[in-house]
Order: sequence, then structure tokens, then C-alpha cells
Amino acid sequence: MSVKALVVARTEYLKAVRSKAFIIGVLLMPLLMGGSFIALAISEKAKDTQPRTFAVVDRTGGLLWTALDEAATKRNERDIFAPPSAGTPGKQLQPRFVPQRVEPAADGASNAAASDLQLSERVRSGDIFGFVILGHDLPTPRADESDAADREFSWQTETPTYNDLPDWIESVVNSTLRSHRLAQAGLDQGLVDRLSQREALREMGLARRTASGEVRRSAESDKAANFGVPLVLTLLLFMLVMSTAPSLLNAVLEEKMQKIAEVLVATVPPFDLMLGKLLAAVLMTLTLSLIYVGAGMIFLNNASGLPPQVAAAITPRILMWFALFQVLALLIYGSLFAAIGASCSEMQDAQSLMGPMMLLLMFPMFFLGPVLQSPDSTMSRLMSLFPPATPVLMMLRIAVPPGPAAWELVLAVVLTVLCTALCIWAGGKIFRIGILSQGQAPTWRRLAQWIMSK
Amino acid sequence: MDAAVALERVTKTFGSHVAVRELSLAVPRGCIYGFIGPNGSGKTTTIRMLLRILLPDAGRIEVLGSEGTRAANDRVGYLPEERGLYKKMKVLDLLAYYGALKGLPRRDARAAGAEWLERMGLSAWGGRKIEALSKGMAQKVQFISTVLHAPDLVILDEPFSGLDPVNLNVLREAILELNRRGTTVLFSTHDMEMAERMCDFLCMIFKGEKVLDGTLDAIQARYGTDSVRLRADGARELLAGHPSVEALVDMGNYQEVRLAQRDAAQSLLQFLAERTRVSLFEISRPSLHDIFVRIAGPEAAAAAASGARGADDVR
Repeated sequence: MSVKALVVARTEYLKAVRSKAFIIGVLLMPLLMGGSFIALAISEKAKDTQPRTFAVVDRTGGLLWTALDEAATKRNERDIFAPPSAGTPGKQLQPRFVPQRVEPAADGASNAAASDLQLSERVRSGDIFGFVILGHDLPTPRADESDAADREFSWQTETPTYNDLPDWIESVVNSTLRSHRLAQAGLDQGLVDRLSQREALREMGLARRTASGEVRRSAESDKAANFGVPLVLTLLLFMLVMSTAPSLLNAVLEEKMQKIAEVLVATVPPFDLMLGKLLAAVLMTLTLSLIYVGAGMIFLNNASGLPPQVAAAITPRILMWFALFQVLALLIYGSLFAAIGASCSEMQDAQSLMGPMMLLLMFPMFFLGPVLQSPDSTMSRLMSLFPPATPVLMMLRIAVPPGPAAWELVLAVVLTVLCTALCIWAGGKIFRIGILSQGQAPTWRRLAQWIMSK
Repeated sequence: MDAAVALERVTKTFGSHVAVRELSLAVPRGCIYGFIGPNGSGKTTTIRMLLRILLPDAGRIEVLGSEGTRAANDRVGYLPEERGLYKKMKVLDLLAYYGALKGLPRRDARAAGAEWLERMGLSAWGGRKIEALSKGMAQKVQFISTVLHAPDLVILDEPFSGLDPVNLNVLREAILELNRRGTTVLFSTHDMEMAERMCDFLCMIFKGEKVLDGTLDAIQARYGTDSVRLRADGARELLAGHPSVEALVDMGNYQEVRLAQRDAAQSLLQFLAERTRVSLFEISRPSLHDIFVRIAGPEAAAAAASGARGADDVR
């Protein structure tokens, strides 16, 4: 790399980090995150507390109506408030559920249909929120599949997306029916509950032998550390590359459109010019990740209420891989985007060439779920060794314990470095010819010819 | 070797189109060298080859004593025909950047930039962004960025196109001043009058081939002393078919007549004076345009004329 490439890199870097866009961008991400927390807190406070009145058509003769009415009363008194603090009663967080008993229609299908319609009209007029119909034979257990008894249990509403109320009704009705049926069978409810108690599964890490020879059982593993840390690191890497690499296209294209390029290539060999720009982009994302990761570490080490495993999961080793893959990804995609920018004369032309590049850049993201679920599957291994996807997917695999085998890491780095070199070489070829080209956008075939030209 | 730039049988083709064919020329050190010809005749391609932005298909190019490398580029200042500056950069930062790219230490580049801004009457603008400058000021800054590093050779591609008369004079003064201090200046233009006024040496190319080169004096001596500028009522009609007139070019306000014989001027004046009112009769050396037309033929004349018109829309 020549001195001129360094001069280009220095100027481009300083220009970038001093620009308003950069400062706004740096501040914007925490602001957006902070803003979403504030929005969450506000939405927490502004809970929907509008009472939900609903009709109950109980054909069981009152068993379920009584249960619903009692449960609603109990809930409305106790469960819908935030815990009281310092003597003041807690704020209401959830709406009251207000059941209204409606006498079932007289026997006969037409009567039932008329009753249905009448209640539906009440829902439409806003008088009630919805209504539940409880069949006559619900209290008795189902005899067999061909049981033709009246077991209707339905909820009808105009607002099917509101689930709290039907969920609550279903749960109250089922627990009532369960108690009732147990009592009918002569079983003690308390005994049944005790016998069917559930046991919780604890998820642990592996035991290991310490340096002093004793065997230590590992601490309870933590979901936030196991899933959150790899995902956040991978997403951060992706976002940094995604926000920096395509901007090279704009920068180069602007130089062409503003007629700056020719003066530059008369002074700096095109390849050095591109290298300088790539270097500036690398420095720029390293700066950004230093800011974000640094701020994140400070936050994790000082925030109360977070399990210590989270901070412990971000090891220097993981951060080193993070930096390495970030640089490689940026060189791969940066050189390709710079080449496309150089080969086009107008933004519209660049857009069409950019499409496939964006797809290539994004496609590892579709595999995040499967790779996170089983990081050692054959597919995960193959995908993470495919150089354009390696930075993102290998980063994810490294962050998920126990991480890939050493040979995989070595192979991944070798392949990615080769791919990076190839991209810079091909990008440089395209850049050299493209930077002075004018007129319509080149075809892919044309770009291939430029790459192969001497 | 006393040539700042030497080309030997240089050829460049783009696909099937021959942009420059077997071009040979030598630009002596310390001169102002005009590279003239209508638009599309290969001037820009040749200049780009001098800077090794383009590589020739055949032939030899030597710039400031180095051949076949970009080594000399740091001692060359280049102002392309299509030019622009980073709009968001501050004037002095930009000049320091361009200077540093040419190998100047950043501090020296800044100092030289400030000095040039002062000379051009722009010292108050050093801290402003390019986008705040007027078009004329931006053109001056562009010129400063070309010559900031005190190059031995300045290459200017159509430096005067699109300039208003005031800025044109400023630029011409600056170029002459550079040349007085020993800088070799090579500039291309389709404007033959400008070349005639400024250049010591000339090279005319047409369709990629050299049609003429040498000093202005030599060219005019070879092709000249037999041209008359005249303004007279009905001269066009009167002179049509006159035996002493080899060619007549109507320039609008006057007619330029090329004489068939060296000493025919007096008899021609007499001929006109007997028949009409003569308000201008000047024996002159032929204009470059006329020489160019005579050498390259009527097709070149049309190309030159359309080139002159077409070039006005640059910027």
C-alpha cells in the first residue's frame, strides 16, 4: 500500500467522522434504543383500562356463571392493579371484566339462532364486548367421540384480536369444570393438585476441573447470555457492515458525478485510491464498534438486575473475532460496492447492480435461526464456511458455546481472506476502468470483461 | 533532453475507433504549448495518456524525463476538462488534501494553499465550504489545486471553456505568470484565437492525427503573409471569381481573403476602391483557423465550427 492510499484514507476517515451524518448516526442508535424503552414505559403506563362487559349464556343451570362471576369479582379487586408501594394503592393496569348473565333461549334451534343474533346486535351496537355460550352438558365428561351432547363452548366478538378476555374465560371455565368433575368422581381436589405438581428443569452449563484439581459444577446457564449475546453481536456486526459498505458506492459515484474522479486518478493510482477508501471505511466501523461495544460493556458491568453471565459471555476472544470478521466483511463488500459505484454514472444504474449485492449481504441473516438452534449441524458448518456468509454466521457460531472446532476457524479465516483478496483484486480492476467510464451502466458481462482485462 | 513531454508514434484505439494515430510531438521545457483541434479529435485521450490514466496501445511517451511510469505525475499539475470539487470540504482542507496527494507535507500544502488564496483574492474563504463559493471562485480554487505543489509541468484540458470574460482573464494571467516562473504549460483548446494569442508552440490534431506543429511564427511564415482582412460593401459578390483570390472566408464583420499571389494585395485594394467603399483593409498573417482549414480541408472546417459551438455548453 502506498503513501497516497494512506493520505486518501486519512482524509476520507476524518471527513467521515467529522460529518454531521456520522455524529447523528452514532447518537441515533442509542437514542432509538432509549426512545423505544421510553415508548415501552409510556405504553406500560397508558394501559387499556376500559372495562370489558360481556354476556354469559349459561345453559348448565348456573354452575359456570357463578364461577365466572366470582372469578371476575376477585380479579377486579386484586389482580388488575400494580403492587401497592409506600402506602399508595397500585395503579390499575388491566381492564375490569364485567360478566352479565343472559338467560338461555327456550329450546329449539330457531330460538337459539334468534338469541345469537340478538346478542350479536348488542355487540355491534357497543353495548357489550362479546358473549360466551356454555353448553348444557359441559359439566359431565365426554363419553366418547360420538358424544352428541350439548357441549358448546364459544366466544363471539367483533374484536377477535383481543385475547386477554377469552383466554381468561377459557381458563376459569376449565378449572371450574375440572374441580366439578373431580368432585363428581369422588376425588379430593387438593390431593389431585399435590400429585400432579410440576417440576422445573434447570438448564446448566458443563462441569469442569479447575486448575487446583477440584471439580466444579458450572453455574446455571442463562438464556440472555446464551441467546442474547451471540445475537446482539451478530446483528451489530451485520448492521455496521450494512451501514458502511454501501456508502462506499455513494462516495465513489459522487466523485464521478461531481467530476472529481479524474483529478484523483491522475494523482493516485486507482487501486491505491480504492484501498484508501476501504481503509477509511474499516477505520470508521472500528471506531463505531469501539463506541458501541465500549458503551455496551460499561452498561453491562454497571447495570443491576442483569445476570453476571451476560457480561462474562463477552470475552476478549469473542471481541477479537468480532473485529476480525468485521474488517474482512467490510473489505469484501466495500470493494464490491466501490467497484459498482465506479462503474456507474448515475444512481439509477447503480441501484440495479446493487440489488444482487444487497441480497448477498443479507442472505446469512436468513440462517441466523437455524444456526443458533444447532450451530454444529452440517448445514451450519457449510454455510459458515461460505466466505460471503462467514463473517456473520461464523461470528454467531463462535459466540454460541462451545463454539466451532479450531480447524473450522482456521479454514474459515483462510477462505475468507482468499475471498477478500479476490474481491479487492476484481473490485480494483473494475474500479480502474469504471472510474473514467461514462454513459450507460455496464452489464455483468461487461464487468467480467473489465476484470479479465490486463 | 530538453523536452518536457515527448511522444513518439503513439496510437490509442477504443474498440474499432482509432482515437489517436501515430502521434509524435515534443513539448520544449518552459514554453506554452497549445494543443488544438476540434472537439473529438483526440486531445483529451492524448492528455490522459500523458498522465497514464490511459495506456497507449503503441508508441513511446516520456514526461519530464520518465518513461512509461506514473513517476512524473507528482511534478505535473492536471486540470481536466470536466472538473469539480468536494462540495462539503473546506477550501483550505481541500487544498491541503490535494497537495498531500501530490506528496507535499500537509503543513507545506496548507501554507501554499493560503498563499495562493491570497494571490487570487480569496483569503477570506479558506475556512468556508466549497459549496458556499460562487462558480468563479470555485474555478479559481480548482486552478489553485492544480498548481499548488509548484509543478514543473501544467496540463490544462480546455481551461477556458465555460469561463466568463473576467475569470478568463484571471486564469490567463495566472497561466502566463506560471510560465514566466519557468513552468511548462501544455493546454488543449478548440479555441484557435486563444491559442494564437498565448502559445509559443502549437500542435494541431484532427481525427487523431497531427496535421501541423511548430512555433506560431514558423507556422505563419510557412503558410502566411498572403492574407487580407477587409470590410467593404458587397465585397463577397465583387470578389467572387477574382483571379487574385484563392479563398474567401466570411467572418461576419469582415472577410478574410487568402491571396493567390504574394503581391496581389495592392491590386486587390485598387480593384475594390474603384467599385465600392472600403472601410477596412489589413494585410495580415493568416489566422490559425484559416491555416487549419487550408491544411485539413473543408470537412475539418465544419468540424471546427461545430466544435466551437458545441463546446460552449460545457459547464
